[in-house]
Amino acid sequence: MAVPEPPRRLLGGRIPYIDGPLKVTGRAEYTDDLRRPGQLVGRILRSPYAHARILSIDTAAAERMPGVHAVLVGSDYPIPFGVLPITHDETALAVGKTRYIGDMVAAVAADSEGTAEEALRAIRVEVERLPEHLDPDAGTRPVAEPIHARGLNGTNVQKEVLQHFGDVDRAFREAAVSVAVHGNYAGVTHAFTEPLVTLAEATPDGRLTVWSATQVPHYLHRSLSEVLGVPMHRIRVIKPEVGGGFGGKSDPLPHEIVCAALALRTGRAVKILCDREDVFLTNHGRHPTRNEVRIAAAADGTLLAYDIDAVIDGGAWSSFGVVTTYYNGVLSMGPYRVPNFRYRGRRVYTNKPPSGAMRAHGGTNLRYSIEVALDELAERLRIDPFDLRSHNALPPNSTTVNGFRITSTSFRACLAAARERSGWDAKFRKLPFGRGVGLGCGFYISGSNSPIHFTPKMPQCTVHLKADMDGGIAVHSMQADIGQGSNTLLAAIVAEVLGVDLERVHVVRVDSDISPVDIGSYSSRVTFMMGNAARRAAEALRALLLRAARDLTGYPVEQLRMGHECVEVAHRPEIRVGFLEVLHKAMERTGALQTSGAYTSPPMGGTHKGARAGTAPAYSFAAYVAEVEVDAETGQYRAEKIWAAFDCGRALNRLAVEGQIEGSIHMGLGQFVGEAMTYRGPRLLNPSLLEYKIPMPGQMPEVEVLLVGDDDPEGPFGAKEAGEGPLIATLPALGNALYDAIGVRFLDLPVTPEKVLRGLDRRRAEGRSWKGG
Amino acid sequence: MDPFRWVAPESVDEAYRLLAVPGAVALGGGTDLLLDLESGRAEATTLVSLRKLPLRFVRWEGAELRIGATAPLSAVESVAGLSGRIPGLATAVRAVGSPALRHRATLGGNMARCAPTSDLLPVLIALGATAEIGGPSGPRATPVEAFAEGSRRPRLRPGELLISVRVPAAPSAYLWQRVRPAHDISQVGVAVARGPSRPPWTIAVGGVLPRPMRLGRAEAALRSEVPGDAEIAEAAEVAAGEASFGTDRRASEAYRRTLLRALVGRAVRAVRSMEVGGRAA
Repeated sequence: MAVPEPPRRLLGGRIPYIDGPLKVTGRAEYTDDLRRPGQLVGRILRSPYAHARILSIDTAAAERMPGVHAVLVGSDYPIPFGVLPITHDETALAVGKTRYIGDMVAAVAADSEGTAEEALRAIRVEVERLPEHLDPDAGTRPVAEPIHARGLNGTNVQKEVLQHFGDVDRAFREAAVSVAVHGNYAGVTHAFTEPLVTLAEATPDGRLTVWSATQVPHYLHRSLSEVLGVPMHRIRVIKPEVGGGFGGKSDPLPHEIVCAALALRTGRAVKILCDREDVFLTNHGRHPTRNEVRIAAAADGTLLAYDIDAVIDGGAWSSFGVVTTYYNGVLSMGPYRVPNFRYRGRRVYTNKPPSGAMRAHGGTNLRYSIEVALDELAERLRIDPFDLRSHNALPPNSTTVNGFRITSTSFRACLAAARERSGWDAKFRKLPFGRGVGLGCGFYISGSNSPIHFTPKMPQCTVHLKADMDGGIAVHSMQADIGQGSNTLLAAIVAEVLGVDLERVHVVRVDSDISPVDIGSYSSRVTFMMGNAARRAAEALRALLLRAARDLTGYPVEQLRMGHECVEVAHRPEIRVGFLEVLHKAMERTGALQTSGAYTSPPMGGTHKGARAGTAPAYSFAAYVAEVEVDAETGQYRAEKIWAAFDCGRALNRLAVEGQIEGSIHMGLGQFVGEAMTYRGPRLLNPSLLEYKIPMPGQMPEVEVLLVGDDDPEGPFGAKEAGEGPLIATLPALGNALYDAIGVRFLDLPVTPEKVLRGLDRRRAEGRSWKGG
Repeated sequence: MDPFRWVAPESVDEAYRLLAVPGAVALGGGTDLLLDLESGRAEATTLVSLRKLPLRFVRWEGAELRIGATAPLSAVESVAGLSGRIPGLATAVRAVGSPALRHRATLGGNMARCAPTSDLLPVLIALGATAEIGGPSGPRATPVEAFAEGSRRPRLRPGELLISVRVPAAPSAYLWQRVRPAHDISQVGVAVARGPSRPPWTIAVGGVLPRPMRLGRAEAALRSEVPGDAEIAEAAEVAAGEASFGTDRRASEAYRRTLLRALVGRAVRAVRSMEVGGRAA
């Protein structure tokens, strides 16, 4: 007899963050809140040269200064590292060359900030200036003195991807219509609230403890070990609370390694707190991108082919670049069926701060070009943009031409909800000149199928539970809550499975001595993978409790289930035993109960080169409508409202999902309206939160969240990601809305008011009227 | 940032003495000066904090608002009757930075830093406000327009200190544009005022080079007491040609000119609809 599931008490509702009270009262501990006895101040000397050969570094004067305990240069720790094992091209401090303004050259540990700064000024670096490489297109050709020796054939190309599925040329020949757009995207950066900060302490027992603001404690752990030559088991990595990451804390970063190296060198604790300028220079933000997207379609709007070319500006290092290069093409493979696909992507090193992974990594700029091109296609074919997209939607349980396995998709439901709630049919091309609506859609991975490291072979995620006589349940996991609410979700899943109140469940701070490995918070993997692992660990614990309840009640396990804070007989719920009594019974012979759950994504994807890139156990889908109002005299415009229909499967914590969607829209709005890393030559002009224009609250549109996903068959309780995908659709919805408002297409982001005016002037000069304006 | 000495005199006479020493700089809220010290754009061996001086007042004195040099902008924006009697100043004060910043930033500091992008100087200039200055050789008064001599260069002699500013009440408007509406610096700011004792219209602009200034030719183009739309458009066109701009990371010269044209027209139309005495017509 199948036991009927009791109704869910927590999941699917609105669960306030369990760490919220600590955060809003200032009691949560972030890395910079921590102090160790005898702690020193670490400071880093940054290069003022974009590209220069280091001839000599004289640290003698700095080392002699009273209060200076250690001075490090690149040759002290020359072993290269990087987040991807195949592209280790970073070093803790510059070795041989500096590659951008801000590259780290030397470091000191001193008694005080003042002494440390003085010591940095006393370091003499002799350099020979080298030619600066700033333009990624120029870097695709052989150059004198490439930035890295590993550039392809004497160029600055770090990675080139060539893929072709089907027959693209034939599809274009046979197509009734084709469109092409050229997109140009400025680099943007994460601008997380908590700056980068690391505290490291070497202790006389031979151990090294590192506390850091990181999304990937495990990758940091590996990199520390590799570069410092200390076995992993002698290093302990702790992740205190983290104030936002958005991908910017998902590489092991050089200052983290430098901080640990200074601790080893001094035998003490050293802290490096980056200021905002340091954070901007560390960057690893979204790649400045140029892309060309050509789309071929049949007369009825059926998509026949994509032909995509992208050149992305990698800055000084590789970071996640190989992944980014693939993503800038292959993430076009949803949410529409595209039978023929060709892609050339090149990531080029330049003498600028490194680009890396940023929220909706690789999918954002590509998607903007595609969605604008689709609107153009719809206009040419006189098909409504919704109808065009719905007609081409990938069906559930299908495979894309490049081998992505699509299981659940509620994309058509997203379209229907956004169309209806926004009043689209009464607005599109019908609002007065200066006001418009636009549709943009999104598609993103729900957890990368490939872990970055394959050795040793192990699950992508493991969760341990411990239930002891106090009645509390401790959860151990290396999943990294960086503010996105994963601790809350972890606790809620455990509480849901066990039927207990949320307050019984304690998520223990990430600590490599205690927490089983999870590969970190990136690629929108945590809910899906950690959620499954947590569910399995909790189910294993439940099995132990049910067995104890059998002994207490005499009913067979098959007839028992977890009730609220108890075990009850499924068909006679008035017969129940309290949770504590069951727990104590279960502990009689073993003491504290301990269980484990793990998750490994199933095998998937094709066999071609790069086939794993973009494979995921599930995908999220989105359809957003934006409504904008344009001041045609000044070019100023405002996003009035966004209807955000999103398929994250089942939303397990609606409060968190809504927060992720609203935050994603804010971030997408920023990239669209004004955020940009601005350079004069190699020099970053706006490394501050005053000059880097994150939108203010008053610029936010009203947001109406529409959660329409069906349960995903493999996601925990049916859930998929909601952390990154919600950003993507924001930008094309805004761009297409501007077109509806004033008849101008914008493919050069950010879209400043000045560009709006130029676009209007251009349209008027061409004599094209638009909705009477 | 290089080390500096910090002193907080208890009287204005002591402040004059301290400020007469080379390398001494007056410190108000510090929201601009400290950033410049940190970046090396400004230098000081002594910061003379004005926090203990009795200059935090904001009060109506007849038809004028008198604002002490160290009054925080938040005190100015909350003074009773401001938006009715000097609407341009009310808008301009609220345009500065953010609420948190306005609790620290002072009117005197904003004036003395003389930023070309100041949101306050255009409206003070358009309204014909008077700067009251104290110093070792006694008090004097000067129009704000003359006080704001150039970027970061107030017209002050060694040992002198801005004590207060007198702002006449008048129908007025301030319009600005920025990349983002709050916590940002204006690309262009336009202040327009109308008063019985002056040429019928005054127009002053910020975001222009080398400093906020009156646009005399555009003012002259507004011949009527209540100009029609065509006259306003003409004045806006004259204004766009009269001001000199630069291109920087906030906006290009061409875009500033376009903005100025639009904002002058809007500001004059806004003031046209106000009655002298302050209430909207």
